[in-house]
Amino acid sequence: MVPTYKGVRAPLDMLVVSATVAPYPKEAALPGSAKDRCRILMMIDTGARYSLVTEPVLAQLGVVSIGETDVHTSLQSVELRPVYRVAVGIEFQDEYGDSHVKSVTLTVIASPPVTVMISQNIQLRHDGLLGLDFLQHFKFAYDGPAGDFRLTW
Amino acid sequence: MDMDRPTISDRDAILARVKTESARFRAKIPQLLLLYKGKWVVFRDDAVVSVHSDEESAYVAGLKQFGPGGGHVVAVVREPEPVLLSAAIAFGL
Repeated sequence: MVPTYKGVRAPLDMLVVSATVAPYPKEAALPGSAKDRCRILMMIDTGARYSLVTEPVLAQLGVVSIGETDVHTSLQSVELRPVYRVAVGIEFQDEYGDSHVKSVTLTVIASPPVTVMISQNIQLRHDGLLGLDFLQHFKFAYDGPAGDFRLTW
Repeated sequence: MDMDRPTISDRDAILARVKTESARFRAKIPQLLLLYKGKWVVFRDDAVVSVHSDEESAYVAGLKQFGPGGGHVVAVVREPEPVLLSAAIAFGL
């Protein structure tokens, strides 16, 4: 069996993975940064061309933007958002239960922090979105009836 | 410790510099298209510093030359094209 990441459908039927985001390469972090990597929840969005990471995560890593891009935040509005080059990794498990981290270098768009309200009392905090720029490196299988999904490479 | 080397406390100032440099780059796109269309460039001090065939090469070159706090821009020379963050936005949602 190839190393696999098996995820389950999160509340609101969202597909969420636990990923690590790190400076790429590590020398890209400014000295004195709070963290050398951050483990965050990221939503999979097959309708998104690019991936997003929230500003607070990027600030903790001490990375600096490499420019800006125009982003449609709605059909009517376009905003300039900073872009950063980082490494996004996911931990896969093989048939023996051994872990293998697969890391992909991405140029991600920075976004403000987001919290999805599942109900009045329950929040789902996610700090990123994985788009097709990430998924193109993997095989992605979604099993609707079972409510799970798998990433392999 | 090298006192001139930027640290995390300089991050906001560096981000502001990247923003300024990015605006300069965008203003120069019509001119740059004539010379570097489709190429990736490292851009700093209102000028192209180096030209590359792909993003990775440009990114590594910029980091090597200026370090993480250089305030430079790494970008492809093309007409600006707004990115759709999600397919749902295409439906006006």
